[in-house]
Amino acid sequence: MNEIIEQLKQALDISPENIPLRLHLAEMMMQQNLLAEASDQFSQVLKRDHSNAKALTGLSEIYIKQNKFSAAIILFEQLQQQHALNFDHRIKFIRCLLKENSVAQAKELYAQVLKEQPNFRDAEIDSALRMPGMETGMDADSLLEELSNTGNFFMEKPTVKFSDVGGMQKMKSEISMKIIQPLKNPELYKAFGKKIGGGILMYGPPGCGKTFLAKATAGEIDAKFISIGLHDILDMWMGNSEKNLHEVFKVARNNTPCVLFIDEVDALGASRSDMRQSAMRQIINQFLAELDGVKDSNEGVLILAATNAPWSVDSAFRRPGRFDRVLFVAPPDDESRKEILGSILKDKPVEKIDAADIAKLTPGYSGADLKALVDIATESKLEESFAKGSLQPITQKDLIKAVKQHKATTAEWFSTARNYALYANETGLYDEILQYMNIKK
Amino acid sequence: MSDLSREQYIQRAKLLLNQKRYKDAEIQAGIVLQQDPNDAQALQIIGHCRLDTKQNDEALTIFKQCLGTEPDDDYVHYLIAFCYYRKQELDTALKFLEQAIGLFPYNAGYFSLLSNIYASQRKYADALHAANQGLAVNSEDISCLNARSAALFRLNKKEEAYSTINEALNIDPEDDFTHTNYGWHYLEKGKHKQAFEHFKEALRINPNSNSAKEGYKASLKSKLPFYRWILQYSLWMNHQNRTVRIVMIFGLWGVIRALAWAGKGSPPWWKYVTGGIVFIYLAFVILSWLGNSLANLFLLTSKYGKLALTDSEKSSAKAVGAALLTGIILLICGVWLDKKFMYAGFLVCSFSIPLSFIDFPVKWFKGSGRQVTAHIMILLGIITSIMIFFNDDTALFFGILYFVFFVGYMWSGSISSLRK
Repeated sequence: MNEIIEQLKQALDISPENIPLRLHLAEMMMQQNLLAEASDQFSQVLKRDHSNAKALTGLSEIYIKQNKFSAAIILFEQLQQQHALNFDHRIKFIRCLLKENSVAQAKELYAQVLKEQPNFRDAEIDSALRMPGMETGMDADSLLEELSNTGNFFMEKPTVKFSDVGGMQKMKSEISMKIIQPLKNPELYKAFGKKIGGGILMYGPPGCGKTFLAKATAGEIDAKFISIGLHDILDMWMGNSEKNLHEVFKVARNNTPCVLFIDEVDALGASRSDMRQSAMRQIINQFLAELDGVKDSNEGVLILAATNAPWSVDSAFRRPGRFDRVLFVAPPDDESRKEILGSILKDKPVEKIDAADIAKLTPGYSGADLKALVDIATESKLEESFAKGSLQPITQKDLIKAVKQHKATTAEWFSTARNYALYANETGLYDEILQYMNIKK
Repeated sequence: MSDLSREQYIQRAKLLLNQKRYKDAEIQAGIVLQQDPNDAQALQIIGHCRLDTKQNDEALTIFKQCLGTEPDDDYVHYLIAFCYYRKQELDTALKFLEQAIGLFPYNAGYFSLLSNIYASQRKYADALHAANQGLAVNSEDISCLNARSAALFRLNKKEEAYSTINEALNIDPEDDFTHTNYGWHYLEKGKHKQAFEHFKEALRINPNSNSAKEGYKASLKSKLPFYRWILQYSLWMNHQNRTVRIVMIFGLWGVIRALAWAGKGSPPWWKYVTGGIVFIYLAFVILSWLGNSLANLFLLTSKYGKLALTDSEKSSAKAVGAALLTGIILLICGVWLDKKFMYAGFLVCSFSIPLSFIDFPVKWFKGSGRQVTAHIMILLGIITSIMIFFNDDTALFFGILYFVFFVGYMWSGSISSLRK
């Protein structure tokens, strides 16, 4: 082999302008792993013909082998400008970009590649650019494990029951009629010809126990509980969000009985005005198909959804068979607030606290607000304890002071909700808000 | 945080911004900024949130920071121009907008802002031209169509204006801005019923639109004829150039003074004529100050109106009503009892005027200069009306002081409204 190379070299000495010959020589050198020499030859070619595609690709491959990724990228970019990148080169280009941490550019290019060959898979690139586990054909169980590790969603078996939820009688009875009784007395529902299924959409100001209620529902019927934030499913890759959504429903169906709790359902939102975003439309359709159980039956899967912005939720979600019950989760009432305060203060050093009194002072406060109150009081007490050198328990006075400092965060939500209830309430959807705010129309 | 999840946060923030959930959007964009405090996209989103929540100065600082990292971004130029437009610094706005258009002349939205700026400067022909330019870029741009119709209305080309606005409604019947725009045109023409329908529709589409809500209230109040006339007058005045407005304010006053002066040596019937004209003029002036509060008082009695009014409007209306009622009771007492009650009655009635300018809930002797002046006036007035019953000299002294403040306050108000 080396002989041939020598002969070619001599031939080139005689006719240095012979580009095909030089390319041939360089390629042979590459095969022999004479990288430095090959790169020299390619450079010679480029000196004479600066846009020679073969030389450029050859040289870039040498650079990759020598781990000079940034140099390779420059050559690939030149090729890209000449529209001379073939499929293999693109993949190599993407890898170089990833090595150099130019993820955005890599992503763009990879999207183009996938458009041409949708079934293309490359473990190295996928691990950097795609959602973990989604594309590699994992089975549902390992997928779930993977996702619970990454914290995207998790499955558990809650131990809380309805009895642990203070107040909310109406919510409980609605959920019981819709979800719990059909599971316990399926015959009765069959006798009346009532279809089992459909979901419940809960809305209300943040921090008022929507998630907790969903969890308690799962605990009540001894079912598994999957909680996902819809934001976590959404993926910038076309088609990936739909796939993610399907996987989640698949997991739920494989683990019946199961309560599937979908938080932030407004992330699919796009109310009428934003409909033109067709990508969103696709996901909404996929979601509706999953809800309807078009391909697979949703028997045994109970779907609860929650949102802070019901007005941003597509009205198609509310059709019968989907989320046909829309329930308002109001901030806790006096009695519930007292209970919540009691449970927050349970393990803290306190002195003469009258929870009922504080509850009266805090109308409209959410559970999260109450927690903030106690936090404020605790902080001031900690400071005092350091100063005095002994443990100072939380007193009624501290809590009252905290009430003055921390106002109810639900107020803001209600000021928006009030407008919707007053002016955009053709279907009576927000009547419960009006009722709660004591507005008569 | 990898690059991918940055993208996700940005997308999320954009969606939230679209849904007008500004706080949540800021949180998402904030996560991106924690990694890269100069991320232009995240900064833009936060600036957008501030802009939409009317924090113009904060928005401006943020957008200028964006401009520092991306000095050739046309959209940032546009946003800065918009901030200045909101702050009514029109020349600066124009400067930035010209740069935005220079960088990228294919965004119809830029031209609609240009048109609006010209309209604010009362250059309606330029405004029309700008809107047309925008429509040349995108013939279905709602904001340009709206700007065009507004300019056409000002140029008194009504038919074209109506057809433009109808076109906008045809393209997107679910656009609250078009409906609001339509509603205000109707109000200006005094057709409050049609206006009400459009404002109602706008509120149904976007219940949190402030401009639609203002219009909704105004159209309800327009059931009262005196409010309707005053609203039409003030809307009309808003669109006039400076000379016309100066003539309207000072000229009218001058004519009335001249009439009163000319009437001195004339026969008795002439006095009734001039007296009548002066009375109408005074009624007009007083109503132009009090009309809004009185109409709000009227709204308090209506089912829908009550819900639309803000708390501060309600308290203001109630305070004005209470002052008038007390004043009238005192006047009636004066007829039967003592003249002193009558003086006090006049005084208390006159409180209603500064009261209608005071922001509620009242923060005594705090706030802008005009607010504090109004507070001082109320204080002076109260001292005077009490002193009437005890010491005439003191009452006279405070009364004169009150009067001087009163006249000064009213004229300075008229003059400063000219400058706007």
